[in-house]
Amino acid sequence: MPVAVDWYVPYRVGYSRLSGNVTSDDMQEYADHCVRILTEAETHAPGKRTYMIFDALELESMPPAYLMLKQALPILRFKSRDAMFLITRNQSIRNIVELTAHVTKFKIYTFATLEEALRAVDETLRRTDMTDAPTP
Amino acid sequence: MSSAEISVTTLGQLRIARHGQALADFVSSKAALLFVYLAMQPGEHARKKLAAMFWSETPDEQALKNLRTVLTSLRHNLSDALLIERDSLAINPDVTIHVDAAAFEAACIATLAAPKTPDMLPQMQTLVEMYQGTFLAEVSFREADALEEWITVRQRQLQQLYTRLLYELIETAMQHVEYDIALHYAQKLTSLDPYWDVACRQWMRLLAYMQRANEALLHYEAFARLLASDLNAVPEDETTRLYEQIRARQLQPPPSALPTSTIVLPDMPFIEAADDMALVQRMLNTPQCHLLTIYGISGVGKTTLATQVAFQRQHHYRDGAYVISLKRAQSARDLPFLLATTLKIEYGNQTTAPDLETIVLEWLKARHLLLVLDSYEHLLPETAFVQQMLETATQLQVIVTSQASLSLFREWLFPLQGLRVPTPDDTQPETSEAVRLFEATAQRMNPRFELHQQLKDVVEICKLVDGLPLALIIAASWTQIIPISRIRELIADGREFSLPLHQDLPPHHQSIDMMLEYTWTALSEQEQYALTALSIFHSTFSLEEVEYICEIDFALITTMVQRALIQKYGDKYRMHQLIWRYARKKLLFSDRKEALGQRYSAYMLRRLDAIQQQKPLFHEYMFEIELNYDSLMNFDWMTKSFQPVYLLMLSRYLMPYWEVTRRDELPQLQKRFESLHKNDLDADVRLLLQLQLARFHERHEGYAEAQRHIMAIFAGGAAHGSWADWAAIFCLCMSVYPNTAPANDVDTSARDQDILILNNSYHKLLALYLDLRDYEGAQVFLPHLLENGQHPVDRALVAATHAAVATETGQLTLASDWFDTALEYLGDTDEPLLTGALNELRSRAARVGSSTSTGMDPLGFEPRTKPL
Repeated sequence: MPVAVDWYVPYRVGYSRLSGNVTSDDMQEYADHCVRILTEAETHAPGKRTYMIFDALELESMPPAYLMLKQALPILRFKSRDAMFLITRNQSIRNIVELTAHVTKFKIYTFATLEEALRAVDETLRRTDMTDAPTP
Repeated sequence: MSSAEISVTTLGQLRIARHGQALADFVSSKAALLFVYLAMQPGEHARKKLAAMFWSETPDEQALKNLRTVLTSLRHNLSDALLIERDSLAINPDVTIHVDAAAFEAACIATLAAPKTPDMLPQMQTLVEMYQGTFLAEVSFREADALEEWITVRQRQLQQLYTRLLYELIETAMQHVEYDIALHYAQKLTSLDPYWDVACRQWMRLLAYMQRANEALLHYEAFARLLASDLNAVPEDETTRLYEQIRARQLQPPPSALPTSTIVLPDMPFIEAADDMALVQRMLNTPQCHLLTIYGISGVGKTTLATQVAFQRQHHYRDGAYVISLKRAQSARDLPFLLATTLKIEYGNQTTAPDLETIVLEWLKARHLLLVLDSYEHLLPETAFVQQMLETATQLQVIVTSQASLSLFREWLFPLQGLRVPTPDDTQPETSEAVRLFEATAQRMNPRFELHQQLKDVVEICKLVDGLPLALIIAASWTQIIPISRIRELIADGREFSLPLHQDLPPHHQSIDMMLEYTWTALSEQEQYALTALSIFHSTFSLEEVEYICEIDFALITTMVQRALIQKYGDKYRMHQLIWRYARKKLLFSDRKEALGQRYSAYMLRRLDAIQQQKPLFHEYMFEIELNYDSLMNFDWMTKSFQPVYLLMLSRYLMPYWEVTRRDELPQLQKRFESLHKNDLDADVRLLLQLQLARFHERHEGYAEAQRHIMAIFAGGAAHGSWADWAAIFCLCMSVYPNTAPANDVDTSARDQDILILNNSYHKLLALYLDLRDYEGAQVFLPHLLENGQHPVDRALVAATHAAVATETGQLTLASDWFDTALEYLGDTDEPLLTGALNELRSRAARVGSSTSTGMDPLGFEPRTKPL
């Protein structure tokens, strides 16, 4: 299963993982999952910002997502979406995601390990309004 | 006897082969093991006993059935090698079967019983190489306790023999002063059992005999730490006594290992670099090698290595080995005299040069000896007498140490590059050669020196001096006076700290700076310039870069490689870090810095142009920039006034990379750009500056500031700037204008939110395509943006971008149409500056059309940036 999306902190921080060689169809599936959880967040935590962890440690390749604006449009409509916490050591993946963030205007922070990213997520939540981030 | 030839390899990976061809299709590992067992245990074996041994937990009937299955498998390949009877099995004595373990065992027992003469060494070494691994170590099987026990016993027996053989081999090598051989096998023995006191003592003795007492002491300390941490134990008393003996300098080689020596080893710590010693020995062991030159920069350890080699090899030569220092020689004419004096050649009253040469050559003719001619660089380029010696004395071997090679055809070369320094991911930096030398030297000055407390600084010093032994010794000598962190700072700053600590060393060995000055003054003016120019590169450089940027020709590069001033490094070159820093200091005061900066800039822009012309995707482009980023951002040596100009020129290519990947660097870049005095720049560069400043502001939604810069561009007229720059300006306006227009001018409430979102992304993508000069890609977005434009000015800007791109790509009719369209959209809007700029650009584009039929070639290789 190359695409997996779920909550890390319910209705606040999504955790998504892409692995292997991801295709355009997989990216569409990923976008659908993101829309689902952003909708859930708006329903259950209205007015709150929603963050997303993007675990790309096992991702080997992906299409140039920065050119797939039509697929991304449903996600871009959500005003509640906030920063993405990208985890990768692959320079090419990093470039693609950073370009996507640039083109679609969302904040991105990049990390080399899951632990570093989770620390940053917890810190971000602590600085906003949550203190009860569970450990995954 | 049958011609069959079967070999069984059991030491290491199990392999059964016939005539060299491996036999693989055995039904199970037990089939192969049965054959091994029969081959190693000659004679007849009852089937029942074998079945019980190989299937000990299986009922007898089933075990016998299994045995039959296995025999069927063996018959397939090895029927002629087996004598299979109803109740028994045996190996056919008529078939030649070679089992490595059996051969090793027999040879080992015989060798260990024989007297240990020097000619036993090769035989012992061959035997050691036979033992490729533990007996049947990688074979797995189940339910055969008796078989397992047989294998375990044999493993233990063979390993004991191997260990004993290694021990005796090392002892024999030490006895006959073959220390390099002894050291090689001592490492093997220690790795076999790192907790064994006997091996530890043997290694300590060996190092002490090799005049490396400090290392022997360090080895003991490491051994004691290992025992304490892993086994909670301490070394045996005998080991500790040996440690005390070495520390008190009371350990002497046994009398038989103390032949008369003409070599005096330098009284300084010696850490052998990687396999330098072994490589030099190997070269000298080659019969064709009569002249070996060890070359490298001052302080790299040429003399030490050559002396150590001569010390270890002196007994290979009937007439011994001699080290002759040439430091005091005035010219090559002094060489015969120095040789005659050192070798005690009687020359009576024959004091004229030709006569003396003849006498020395005649004396050498029948001699079998090794000569070390130390510091030959004083005598270069004269080599005639050395050549005569080699032609006359066929049993003579000469080692030359020099800062440059002799450039002779028969010369063998050994470049010396210093000790290995810890790598960034090194988990045990204290074991690296450079750190060990530092520690050994520091402990000579201060026995209480503790490496572990200061390891980080020591590692940093090792890196700063790039593992140069003399620099390490000088730096370590200072630990008795200056805190080590301060020593690191001083070296990093390239600051002089030369107080005469060692009166018995030559002046150029007293301080790092004097050592470098000594090297520098020995260079020609041309070489000095070349090194200064090459110091612009931080790490490695290619031949193309050297030729294009530094204007150094290949002949000079060759000379500098021969002088070890630069070293080949993969398919590139590098300079020793100390020389690099010294040359960098010279560069700071060089009047050629400005010209170098211009050429560096031109080269980098050309390289970026070439990358863009390969039409990469955005992320591929980013990747290419990332790979080249250190070289691109290598500008700190350029003149202060040129640095921001260089960055501005780079911005044409790097702006998307900075915006996407290096966001943290943007404020600093903005400051640098703002530091430029606009009046000092020509109009093209001034326009580029305004464009990039506008981009910085737009990025942080400083739309008013961005617009101020854009207005300044329009006010400056449209006579300057490349078409690519103008396309980028109009693209930027698309994002700035809607955000600066009066609120009632744009009907935000009527905007479709999706279009707004998409337009924002399209603007960013369009800017990226324009930055990459990918105009085909850029033109895909223009119709969308035109269609979605909410205001006439928005649509005019899209048309203007289209026009600039069309002019850039030589589609001049199209460009003219788009300029007209843009002006039509502007119509009655109140945008006089934009209208004026577009009118002027339309006229300029028309002039392009009248002066050339095809327009500009945006895909040409030459950089589109104008020279400054």
